[in-house]
Amino acid sequence: MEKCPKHVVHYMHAFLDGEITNEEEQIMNEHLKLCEECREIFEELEQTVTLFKGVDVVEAPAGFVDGVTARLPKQMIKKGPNK
Amino acid sequence: MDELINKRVKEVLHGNQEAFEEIVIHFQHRLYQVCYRMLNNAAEAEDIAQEAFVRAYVNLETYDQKRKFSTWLYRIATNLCIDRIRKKKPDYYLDATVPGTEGLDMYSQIATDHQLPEEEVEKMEMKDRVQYEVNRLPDKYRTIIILRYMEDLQLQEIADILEMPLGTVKTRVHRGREALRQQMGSM
Repeated sequence: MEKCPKHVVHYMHAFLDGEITNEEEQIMNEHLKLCEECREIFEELEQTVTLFKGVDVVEAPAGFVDGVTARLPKQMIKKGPNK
Repeated sequence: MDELINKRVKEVLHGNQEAFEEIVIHFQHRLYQVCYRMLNNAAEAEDIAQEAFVRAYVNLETYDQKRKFSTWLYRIATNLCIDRIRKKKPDYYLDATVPGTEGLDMYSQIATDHQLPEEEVEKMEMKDRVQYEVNRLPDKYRTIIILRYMEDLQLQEIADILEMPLGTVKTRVHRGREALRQQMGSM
């Protein structure tokens, strides 16, 4: 197996953040074709991201807004130094 | 949308409390979700998310209207969550090195604290597994991973919320992602 380029893991993360340059992406892709170990890491990273992105949205329970309103101080917020 | 929110903020500052309700309605789910993911407990998440809105209301005059309101609100909520998490573990400092562990700090101890036996983890439903793995992350990665992937925020906005350099956020996203990959193993 070819020696892994020094920054290939950084390139994977840059790719996942959408911040990879064309040149870096080319280096990464060429290496992934040759290196099974890196390919596996990359696939696992992509799977992990997909899984965490795809988790269901959690919604505030019913009555949440009224709960906030009930907790607000009755007096309006401080009006600065000149009362 | 930001403009409408800022209009409501001005109305609240002029004494119209009802305008604040619209702000709460608009952000309730996002703020509750971030608290829920951080605390992994519905009752605590509701309490802290509501407290975050109350703090926002009381301190509204300090909000800089040139900035995004949601950033400010997220900052209040994440700070409250982190305080709550730390109060649950009052007996030691999180950054303190654990004796005899060659530089492991308490963050790594906490991460392993609530580790379940492997066979139980494998039986979990995927959504529970995701939450479980997020909670095993060290604090400094957990907040960032939640904001990045569960709230779907951009790196720059996360940096603004946490008042951290963008480079630090990037490094922590990388490390958090790598930690999750290893925790998940081969799925």
